[in-house]
Amino acid sequence: MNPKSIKINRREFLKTLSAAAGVAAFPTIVPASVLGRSGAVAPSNRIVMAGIGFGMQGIPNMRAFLNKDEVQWVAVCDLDQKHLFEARDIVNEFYGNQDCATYHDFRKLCLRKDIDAVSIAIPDHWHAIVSIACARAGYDIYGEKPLTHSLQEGRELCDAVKRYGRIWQTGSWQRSRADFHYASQLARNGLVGKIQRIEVGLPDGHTDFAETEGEETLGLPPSHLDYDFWLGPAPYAPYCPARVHMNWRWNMDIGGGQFMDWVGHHVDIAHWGMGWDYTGPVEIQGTAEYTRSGIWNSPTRYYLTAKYADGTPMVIAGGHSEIWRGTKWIGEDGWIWVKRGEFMTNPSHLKQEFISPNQIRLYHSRDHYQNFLDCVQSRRLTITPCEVAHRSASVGHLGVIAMELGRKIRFNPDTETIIDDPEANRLLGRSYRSPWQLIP
Amino acid sequence: MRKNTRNKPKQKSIMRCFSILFAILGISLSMGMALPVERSLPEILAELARYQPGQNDDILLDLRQQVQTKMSSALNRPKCEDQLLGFLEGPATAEGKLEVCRFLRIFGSEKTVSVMGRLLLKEKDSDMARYVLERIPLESADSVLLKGLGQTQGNLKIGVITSLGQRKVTAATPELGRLVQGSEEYAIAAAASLGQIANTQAIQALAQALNSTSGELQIRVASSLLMCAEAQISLGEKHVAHEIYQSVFSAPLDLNLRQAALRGKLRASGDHARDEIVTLLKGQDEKMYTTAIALAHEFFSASDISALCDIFPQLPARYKVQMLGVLSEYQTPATLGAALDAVKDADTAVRIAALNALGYLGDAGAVPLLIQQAARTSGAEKEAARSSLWALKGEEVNEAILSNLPRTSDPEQHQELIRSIGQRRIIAGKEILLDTIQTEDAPNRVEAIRALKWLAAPADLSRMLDVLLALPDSREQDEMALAVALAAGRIPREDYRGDAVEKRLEELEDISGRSILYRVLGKIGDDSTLPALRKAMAESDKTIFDSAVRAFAEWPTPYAKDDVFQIAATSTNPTYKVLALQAYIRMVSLEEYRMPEAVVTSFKTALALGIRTQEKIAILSLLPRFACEQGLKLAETLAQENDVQDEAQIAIEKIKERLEEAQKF
Repeated sequence: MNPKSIKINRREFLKTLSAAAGVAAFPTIVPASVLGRSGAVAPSNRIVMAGIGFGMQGIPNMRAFLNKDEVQWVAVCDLDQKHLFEARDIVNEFYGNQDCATYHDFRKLCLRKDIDAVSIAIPDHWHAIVSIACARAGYDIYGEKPLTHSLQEGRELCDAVKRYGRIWQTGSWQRSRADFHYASQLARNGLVGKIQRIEVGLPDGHTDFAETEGEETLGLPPSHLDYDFWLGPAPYAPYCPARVHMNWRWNMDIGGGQFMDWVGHHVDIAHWGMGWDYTGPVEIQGTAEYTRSGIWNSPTRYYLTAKYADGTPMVIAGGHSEIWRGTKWIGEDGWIWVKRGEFMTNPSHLKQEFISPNQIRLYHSRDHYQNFLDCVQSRRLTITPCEVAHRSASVGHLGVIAMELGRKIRFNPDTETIIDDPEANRLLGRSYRSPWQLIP
Repeated sequence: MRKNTRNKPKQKSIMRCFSILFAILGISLSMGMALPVERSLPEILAELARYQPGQNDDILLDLRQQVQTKMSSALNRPKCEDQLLGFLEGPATAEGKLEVCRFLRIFGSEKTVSVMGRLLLKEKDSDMARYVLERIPLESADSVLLKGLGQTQGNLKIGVITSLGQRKVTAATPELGRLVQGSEEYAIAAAASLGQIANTQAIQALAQALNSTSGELQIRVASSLLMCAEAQISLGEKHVAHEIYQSVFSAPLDLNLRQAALRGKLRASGDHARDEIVTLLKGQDEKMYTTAIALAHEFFSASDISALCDIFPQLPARYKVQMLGVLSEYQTPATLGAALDAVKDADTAVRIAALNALGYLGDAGAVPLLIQQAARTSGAEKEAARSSLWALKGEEVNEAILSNLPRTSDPEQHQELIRSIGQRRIIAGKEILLDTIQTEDAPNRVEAIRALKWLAAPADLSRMLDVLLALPDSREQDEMALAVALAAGRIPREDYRGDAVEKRLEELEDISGRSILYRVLGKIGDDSTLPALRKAMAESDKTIFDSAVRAFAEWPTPYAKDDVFQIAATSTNPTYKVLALQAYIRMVSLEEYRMPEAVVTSFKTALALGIRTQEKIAILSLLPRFACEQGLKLAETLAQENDVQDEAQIAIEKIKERLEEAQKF
């Protein structure tokens, strides 16, 4: 018998595949359609997925995946029973059966051997712990931004993804949109000359997603929410509605405010256009204004300047009208500005420029979710792999430290340490409430 | 519904601050009152002792300001630290203490370590103490944690174990080694910490545990060993790392962990990694193939990649696909040869991967093959051949495409070559395209017109108009008219874009030619040419009139709004009426700068002309963009009509939502 004829089934095949972490090139991504997705895909050939966290972005992410022919969604996990059952019902209704399994504890979900990939959309303070557990379990991961809650966690997560050879896609979906892609290519190819300065405008204030602003009376959590588990590694804080669902982002023990939420979008795009996907700033300083609330304690208005190794400054601001929302590259010969729904250049004809095969053509994806699924199959890097997400989040983490200390910090992007400032270095990591631990 | 708690614009804030300041000043002075004085740290701490989140939050900003000011002064820092530590040991809420700890984790010195050592042992304060201790880079913090390890139980002990690992306290290894062999309650945490410490003793303890444990604990031990091995590689101790990886690889563990070990083993193998990869790929353990292939790029250079090219033909199809991704990173004759051979593979996915790889590996020599594949295949294969042809790098590729054109007799290949001139923007091919458009070969003509859309420049307009007017087929005329409009659109000044067409109109008397040119004006949409179009409307010739109506209906800006309304209101031709009404509704919706009420009035005017269901639906879909009370009333009126009831209900809901949202802001 020819040794090469030994057959393994597709499930085993997916399990045996490993990622080529760190590869900068990304050729030969064979569309999933070629590898089995062509209308009706046999259940045995599908990518088996589960989801963790359905309080906000988890549902739209899951719906997007459910609509892909090659996906079979089998399980949902959430610490709030209401969210859990809502997610389960969506899956069951979609398939017309009652097969979707429910999990309260992600560690139990991670014991399942039949899952290929997970979609994770949980509060920031849980990102690293849950994602590393999933990577160790052998799951490929679609994870929300910001990558992690601290810079050190980001490095740990990147190492784990590399260690376990997992495919990672970050929810920085702007990369899969034509206008952001095109704008970044223009900047990258020097169509406005050497870039002199980058401006990144982000939202300010606090968006009251759950309409719980001011609901700060301390009390018992609702019976459907396992609040102590939800707090997890964060320092203990008594329950109140303003602290949890959808508005957790405004508390710095759980999230990182508008600033950390959006660096994974517009700073990510700025990096892409500059070729800074695998590096970070060498200096950062800034100021912030805070509200009077102890629970929503993230900065409401901020202005930071990060400087990169070649001396190019990047201004990141929220609540400063002179800095346009989105990403703006300002070069010697003009500027390029892009945000959701708007794309402008000066001179205006740049919008019609053709990027020839001999110029730099950036990774192209038309569908962020599909790109993840294609890469799960091909084992190539996604358009926003873990390391790339870590580098845009790092700008945020360093910015938070600079704002907290009120001084300029200098950073070595190779060693990922802050230079000559031991106090600032202390803030690169966070300690966890027991018994939580970042298990490798 | 959501709202944003924004800061007011800066100017307003400043004005408000001044007003408040003057008001306080005025009232204070008039009443003989003292101005508000900044509170001292002890005063702040006294209030902080009663702190509950959401109750007296203002105190936190005062605390931040005071502590940051004092800690930035070397003189004030010791006293400030003493005050904060005193607060921690006194009666205060846990939430108040936590706020103080946030500063001590940044500024805490030896004095802080000592206090935290005491708090570490207290059930309520232990996490908080670690929150500070973990971040203080002093050896005393290690000692305090190490001491605490023997004095704590349960979650407190797990916390201490975690902190020792985070800080990589090597002195903790013997005790952690014992714990990893003990009860599972502490063993998992101890294993993780040993993985972070990663010294020789930690490796020994974990290696022992790997053989003596099972289940979840064994998995944790194995993953910690992987971390130890990574640490050894970073220290340059690759042989130690290799041994560790080998021990995990050989253990009866989940496939994922064994693959991770293999990955590490290869990374630790140095120069031997290439041989190991080749051996693996020649072996029977297919489950390890992809791990080996995925890592190949780390070890193979252009000079030795041929070793993988040699194995390539024997691999099963699914691994060939993955391997082609790796090979395409190396531009060598061997990799190009492998990809060229794979284009003939029996498996579709392999052929597609090979065609994709050629986009990276190929040069001008790949042009004939890609043209051939693009012409004779279909679906994803065709797409791959085309995209690779369009992505091939090098000026000589463009030359090869142009030189292949006259040599290619196959019509489909000819069309692919023409298409690639456009897709690659081969300027030197523009003349060929214009010539092709004037030949008798209809399929090539259409393809050339389409390609010309990408390349045509304002300087080509005159010749393009000649070609347009000579085209025999109306479908081709439409395509060419679009190409002319795109070329005109590349003129920077919008009011110059219609000049070439307008000039040609003045010169031309032929009715059919003039009617074509009026249609082109409609596609260009240069508002300065609207008078010419209005003049055409007055002409008696029906062909000219028809073209003018259709040009107005296509007009891209709202400046032709009154013209299309006039047509809609007065035309007796039902087709013209519908075209004009649709254009009117579209143009009204382009005027986003107008007051919503004015836009709604325009929609009502359109409705008054007695429009069809489709146009009513179009209006209903646009109404929410111009949310106002009048729009709501209009939607409610339309909700009475049977043909658009559902659409009207949706519009009503959306308008209400937007109005509510606007009220909140």
